[in-house]
Amino acid sequence: MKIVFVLLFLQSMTAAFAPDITPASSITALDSTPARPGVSLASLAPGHTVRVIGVDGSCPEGERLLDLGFIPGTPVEILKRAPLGDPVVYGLRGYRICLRASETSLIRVRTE
Amino acid sequence: MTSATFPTSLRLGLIGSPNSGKTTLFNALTGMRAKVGNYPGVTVERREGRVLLDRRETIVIDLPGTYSLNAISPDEEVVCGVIDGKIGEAPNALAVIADACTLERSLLVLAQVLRHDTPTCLVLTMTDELHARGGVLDLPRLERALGIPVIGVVGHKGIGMGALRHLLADPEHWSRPQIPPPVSAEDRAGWVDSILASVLTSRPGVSRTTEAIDRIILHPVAGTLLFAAVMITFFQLIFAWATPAMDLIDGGIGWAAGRVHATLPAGLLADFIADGLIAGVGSVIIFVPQITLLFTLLYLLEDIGYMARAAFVIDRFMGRVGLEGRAFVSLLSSFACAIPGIMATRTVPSARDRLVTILVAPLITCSARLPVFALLIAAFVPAQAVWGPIGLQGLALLGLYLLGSVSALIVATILTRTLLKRDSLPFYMELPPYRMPTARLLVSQVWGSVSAFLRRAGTIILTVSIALWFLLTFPTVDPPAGADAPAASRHALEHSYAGRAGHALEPLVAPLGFDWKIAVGLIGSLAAREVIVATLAQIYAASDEGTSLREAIRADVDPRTGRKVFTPATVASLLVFFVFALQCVSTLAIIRRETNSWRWPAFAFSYLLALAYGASFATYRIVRYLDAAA
Repeated sequence: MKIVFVLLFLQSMTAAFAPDITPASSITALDSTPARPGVSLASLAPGHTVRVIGVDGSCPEGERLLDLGFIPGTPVEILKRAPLGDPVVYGLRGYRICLRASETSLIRVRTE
Repeated sequence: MTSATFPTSLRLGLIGSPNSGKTTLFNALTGMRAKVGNYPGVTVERREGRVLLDRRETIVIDLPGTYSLNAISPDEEVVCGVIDGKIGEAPNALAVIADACTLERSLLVLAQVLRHDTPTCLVLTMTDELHARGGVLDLPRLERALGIPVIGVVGHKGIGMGALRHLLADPEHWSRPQIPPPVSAEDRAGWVDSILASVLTSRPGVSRTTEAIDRIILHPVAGTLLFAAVMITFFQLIFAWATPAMDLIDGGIGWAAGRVHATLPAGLLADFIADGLIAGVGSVIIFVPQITLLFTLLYLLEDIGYMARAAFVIDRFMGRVGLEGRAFVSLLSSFACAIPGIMATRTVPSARDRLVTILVAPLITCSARLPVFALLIAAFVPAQAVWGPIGLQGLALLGLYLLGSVSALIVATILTRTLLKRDSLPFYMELPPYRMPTARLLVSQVWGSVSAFLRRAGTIILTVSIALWFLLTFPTVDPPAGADAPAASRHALEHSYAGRAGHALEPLVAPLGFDWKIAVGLIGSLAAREVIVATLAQIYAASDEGTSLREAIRADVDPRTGRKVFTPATVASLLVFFVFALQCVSTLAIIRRETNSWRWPAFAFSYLLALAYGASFATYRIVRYLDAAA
């Protein structure tokens, strides 16, 4: 019984702490502006395959993303968003990893 | 071991990412001989095993799982420190363990390892899975391209283990790369791509099974429901299903103590053996059923690959308080008991998150607080219905649970944003393919945890339990003439060191509304929180810990003031004190064991005592004011 309380409580706490779940921006807007150098990986919805243009490697987070294989030219599949909106599962280099928007916003990609 | 015959002993470090099959391989190499401990000063698990490899004595070191040698976390600093010989003696040889199916990513780490001078070989695990998924890898060609020995194994089936042992025992003859791999991330990726292009004649396809299962498990609705179901089972297991075994141990301890009293002549020796020694041993092994069950399920879910998915579902919530999804299981387990909860933090990958979770876990209302809450609520909260079946007593209990949980989340938020802010790390979590767990690995993982608890925390718990028995028993005094057994027992307790300490502490706890009797109860509750009920029963010379004790505390009147001792303000204050205070030596012992220093248990004890004192003081004042106004 108590666990139900815990879970209900968690859901409500999440709502209270996190009123601002970033909505996935529409992909069509990006297709219509092909001149842009790329978009942040965080802005794309699941279901797309993209290619990495670059990672802001000046911070430890960015360096780690490079070490994880987010290297320019790497194709990345955007697979699934978590029920609470974040993190998102990505497929690259033969494996699957989930990252939060705070990290994927460092990755610039172009859509295929 | 016959070290005399094999003078040159070998230190072999295993490096690999989490999920690479490194742990399976380590267990296959070392069996049950692994020693689990901690690296000095950090909450990073140290696992070493001394074995004979091809008749050569070898110390196998299982390094923490890592995706990179650019150390940004304490775990990675340990990996680099061990390789460089800054932590202990440097290994003579390194084996990079890589999942053959994710070779592309694993080679990125291998490229970093190969920049070190230490002889290195590459061990490819899950080669059966690679073939099943249609991948074809040319091992001899990979060996030539890398310039180091490469060997394929199936760790959990023992395939290739003989050849692996043979190879690992002889690093002096390993080939070394002609040119070290490039340094920059882009160049390293190019190096990996060029090698793979020539050796991976067919890339493995996606795992069909994993895809199919993930369609359900990562589904927003089905996945959330499954998460809830797994967590409810988990909670039920720790909270309820461990109870029969714990009752059995409790009964066994009681029986053994009874036998001692019946066999030995009444006196201090019998008291010491029965109530000090046997009860102390009991207070250690009482945790074993919970810990065994917890780790069986925890490692089972981990080995299958579900743990990462569960963390994925709850990560955003935990992220809000500065932690990550995996810490959730720890906090949930802490509702049963902080001991398994804190031990469960071992599956949290980041050392900082581990520490924060350990520090807030004692705030979660554990089952040992329940008897205390039950006694006070039953005695002082009227059993009236508020709305439908919901009563005031139930609401009071729920309120206490919420107070503890919300405080834990708030303290975690504060700790991650202040004291431990600089250690914040990027979050990333691999979703491994689903795999069949093997009983062998599971048994050795669970045994490792249970034996570490018994060895490291058990000794501290036993020592303190005996010390507390001493304080509650000595000095012995003769009971007043004509006193019955409960009165004699009360008299003995009042004049013991603990009883005297209770009197001495009275001025300190008076601002919280506590008298010396409650202070003695608090000292006794250090052994385990619920012990306060037994201690109070002894002080009030109550014939049982139920109705009789309830009546006694309700009726108790302070002889100096003529007022009731347990006023609503005192009861509220005591309840709040129990929500916050860390008066549990077993928890302190396990924090000591998990963080490998007395600094963190001291910190946890102090901040929770300060919190408890402040909150109880405020509660006492407020309720007294409201009570007077009403």
